[in-house]
Amino acid sequence: MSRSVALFTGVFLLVFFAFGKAAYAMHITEGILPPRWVFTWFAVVIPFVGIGIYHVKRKKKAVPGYLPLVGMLGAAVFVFSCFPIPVISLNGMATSHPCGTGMSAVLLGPFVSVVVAAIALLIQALFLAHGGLTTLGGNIFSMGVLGSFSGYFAFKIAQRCKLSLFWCGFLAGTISDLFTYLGTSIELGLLVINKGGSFLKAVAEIFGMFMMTSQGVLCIVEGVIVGFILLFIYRRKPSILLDLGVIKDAAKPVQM
Amino acid sequence: MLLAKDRLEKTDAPTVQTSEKGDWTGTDVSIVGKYATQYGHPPRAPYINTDRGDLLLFVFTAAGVIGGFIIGFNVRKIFYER
Repeated sequence: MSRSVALFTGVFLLVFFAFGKAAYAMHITEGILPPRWVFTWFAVVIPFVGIGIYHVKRKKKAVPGYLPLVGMLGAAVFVFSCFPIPVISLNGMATSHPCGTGMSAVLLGPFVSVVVAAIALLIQALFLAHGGLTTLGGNIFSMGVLGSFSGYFAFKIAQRCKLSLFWCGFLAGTISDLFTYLGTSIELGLLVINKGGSFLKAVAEIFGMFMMTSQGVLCIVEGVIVGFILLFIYRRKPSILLDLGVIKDAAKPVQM
Repeated sequence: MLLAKDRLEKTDAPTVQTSEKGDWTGTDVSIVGKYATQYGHPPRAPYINTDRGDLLLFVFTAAGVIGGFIIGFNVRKIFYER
């Protein structure tokens, strides 16, 4: 009985959803990447996801309350990255969305942040007509890998420069958003190579267009949000930041 | 209850769809779609296409509610429960 219900549901969903008109949604949409790049981006991101899953298994034993934190940040990344915020940009009214991977990378580590981003992007591709299944690897690379690692290293460099916790978080959020869209620009720019166009020129043009429209504003907004979230956690429960290795010593006051 | 003659007909009125271009179009839509088409790789319909009228509104609302519940539940568990 349950198998026939599952079969009916599967066929219904396939027929119902598969024959629609084109949806030009956020991230890199279905059909944009040729097969060569589809496989390349999947091959690039799979090791990151594998290492991330290993880190989750290791850290859930070592850090108390780690899984609820992963769940909370996973949901936050999912909501952030499909939340179109209206902005008034140079070319008129537009919407843009933050990424959230800077925040998750600082708190969970960059590899686990890649896993969180991969799950969020998969759900968006399956149910929200956002991104795509064939472009999932490319989207994980830009938002997950580039977004997480750039945000993480920006945070660490800011800490070494002895910036306050807020500004460390601000830089992590801003830089991760910038690098996410730089990644998308690179993936699109690679499409011109076979057409005889200039890769660097294409990347610069697309990235410039992102920043000049509305994503530039959103980068700063995301930085402010990440900064305030870190301040909230520090004031409410600094032991979490200590357990996660975000700060070194809870007794030592962090400059806010 | 609607009688057969009162059944709602399809009109040309715009629906809630992210694929429509105009004011408040997402940058990913206007920029990614534009350059991909320019480079000879236009976007195609997703394999599971929920971008159909208010269906997208439904899945977005459902996703927001579920995501919000998970965030709220875990925030309470992590930051407020002893």
